[in-house]
Amino acid sequence: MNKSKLIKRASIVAMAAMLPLSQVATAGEVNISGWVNEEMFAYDDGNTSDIIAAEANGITLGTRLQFAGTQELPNTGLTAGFEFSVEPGGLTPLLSITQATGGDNNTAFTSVNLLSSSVNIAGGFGKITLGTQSMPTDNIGVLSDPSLTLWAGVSPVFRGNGLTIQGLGAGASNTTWSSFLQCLTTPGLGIGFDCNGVYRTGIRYDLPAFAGVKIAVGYANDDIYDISLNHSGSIAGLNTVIGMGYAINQGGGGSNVGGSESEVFQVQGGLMDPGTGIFGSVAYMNDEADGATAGTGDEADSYYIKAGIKRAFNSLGDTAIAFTYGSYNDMYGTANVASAAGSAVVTSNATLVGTTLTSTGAATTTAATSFSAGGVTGSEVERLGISITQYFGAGFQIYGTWEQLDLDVDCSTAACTTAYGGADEVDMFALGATYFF
Amino acid sequence: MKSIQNQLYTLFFISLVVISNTLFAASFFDEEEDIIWQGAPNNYFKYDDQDSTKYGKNEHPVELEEKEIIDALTGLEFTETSILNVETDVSVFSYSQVRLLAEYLSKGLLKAKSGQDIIFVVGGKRSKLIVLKTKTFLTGRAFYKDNKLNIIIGEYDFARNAAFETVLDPGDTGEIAYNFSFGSRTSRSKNFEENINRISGVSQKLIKKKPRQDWFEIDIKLAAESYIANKKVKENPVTNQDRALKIEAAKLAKQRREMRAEMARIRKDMSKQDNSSSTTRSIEERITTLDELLSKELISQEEYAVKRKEILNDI
Repeated sequence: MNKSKLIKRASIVAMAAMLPLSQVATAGEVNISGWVNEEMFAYDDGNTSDIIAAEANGITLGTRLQFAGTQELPNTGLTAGFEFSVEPGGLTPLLSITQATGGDNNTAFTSVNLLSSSVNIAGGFGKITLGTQSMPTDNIGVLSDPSLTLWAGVSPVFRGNGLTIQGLGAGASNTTWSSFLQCLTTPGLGIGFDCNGVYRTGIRYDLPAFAGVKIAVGYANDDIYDISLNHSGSIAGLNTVIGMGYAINQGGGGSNVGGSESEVFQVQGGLMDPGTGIFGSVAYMNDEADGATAGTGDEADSYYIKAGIKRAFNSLGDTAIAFTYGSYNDMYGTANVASAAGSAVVTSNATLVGTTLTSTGAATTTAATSFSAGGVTGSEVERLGISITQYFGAGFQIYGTWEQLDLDVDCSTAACTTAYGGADEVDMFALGATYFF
Repeated sequence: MKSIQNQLYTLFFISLVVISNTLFAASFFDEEEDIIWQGAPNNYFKYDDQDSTKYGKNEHPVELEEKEIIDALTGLEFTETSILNVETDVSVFSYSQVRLLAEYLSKGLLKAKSGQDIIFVVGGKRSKLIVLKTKTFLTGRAFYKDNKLNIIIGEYDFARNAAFETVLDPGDTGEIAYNFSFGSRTSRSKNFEENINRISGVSQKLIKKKPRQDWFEIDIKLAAESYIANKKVKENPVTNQDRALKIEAAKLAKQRREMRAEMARIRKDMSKQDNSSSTTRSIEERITTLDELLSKELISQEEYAVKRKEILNDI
């Protein structure tokens, strides 16, 4: 090796050795990890069709980079830790793809968004975490899936969320699928499930685990309290996992439907036989706003089922095939009331992408000709899906999915029937990959 | 619109169907028999069906000495070149990995069927970006064939993904089970591409005359003996050299002393000889000169006699 190369390499080593991080590392462990997730998303809504390269940022499964570390606190028997994670902002978020989405959105990329920033202290008493973080009931009805086939499909409706429902009549223009998937506990979050599913700034206490059961409680801005229970284990040789949680929002709940507070209960359980690879999971959510305006969608419930098989059919790694069904009921918000054009109607979750919600909920967007025909007394969005995931060891996966959304609306007025009676289904296909590092 | 009650009934029914189907499927397989040992979701040894019969059935069950497996696996090393071009011998398996592999492979192979492999996941640690440390995983499959222990590497130094675990195990109930690859007879793993340092009893499987770096064939007894022999040489080289050097140094010192004494004696003798030699020649020369003078009648007989007497008086 020539001298200049040797000097360069020696300099790199010397600089690295002087990194401040080395001071931290000598006291504990620091870990950099994450994943990158990208997807090609195609849809046919009965009127238009398109293929879009999408980023899944803004949701739990989107690209992220996480820094985490722990160190022992001398002479205390305690450890301190931190977690800091970021995700790309802008680009083409899957959650908010509309029929108008197209072209290269690279110019829209303006930032790397903060996803979490927290510190924690742990010991025999459990763990206390302070900062922007995933609260106890975040994803409680989403991730208790023993197959971990999550990127292909989960209980919340991410794909097609921002697409306008086709086939609607006069009085329902620019109504998106998220309009009938509205959460109450997190106003503006129109995903049909996981209705406390955003990172919040708060404090969380995880009790020490006992018999594989872990309980956590949390308080976040503004006046949102939640409690969760998680368990994973094995019964009769089957891998079991269950998550259950309750959250109450007393600071800004029910703003879409009126009322002073809202609460959500979720539960998800799953089984998997490691021998055959057969698995199944079921999730249920009940979301309710107290003191809401009469006639509004003030109590909604959803359920989601996934069943399939995951095993090594080939030498590449495990292959998972899953069938999914979801039903999202009475999540129509204030669609019982007719509103004039230009009213503030929730039409998309664009502003939720890559952000942490404020205490009063997310901002809404208004389309110029958007208005509600009113007269809705009930609604159901049904979701069917098939997915296949191929794992290449533990570091990479490719998946393909087909999903279909279908809307059924109960009406009390003829105008409502005219507006929502002819809703078309939308078929969606996704081909994606996730790289773990 | 369905009432909540109907929905809950539907949910309950579907749950029953899912659970009963899973239990029904599970009843045909007693999973517990497949586990040799499990310390954590990502730390275990299990039986698995042979991934391919392309190279024939395994020669199970077989009894292997745990101590010999320890010695054989400890001797597996490859040479790593650092960024400063310094070469270092690195063990393929860490101390703790060797011990786990030895204990549970010896136990597992004792009861393995010919159509079964043993798949394993064991933990490790490595440094990343020089200063960061991270937990890692080593996976693979093992079987006995052609009188050799075969180990095929699946994942090598696979780093734990804390972000993955944080998201998927928010309640921190335990480790998330990763979708590991365990290596395959028919497909080379690129996670381990080092050439093993030569050691008797160990080779990397030749497929179409090319070595597969991820597949070790180990003659346990021979590899263990080779490791022990190499270990003895490595442990004692300095002591033997020291002794030899000391003996040699002592010999040299004695020789030097003897030589110095001899040289001193010789110098003394030579000095004496020089002195006596110079005195004798002078008298001879003088008398010869005197004789020449007499013969040439340059001096008289009386002068010759007087002078001759003087010269002889100098002796």
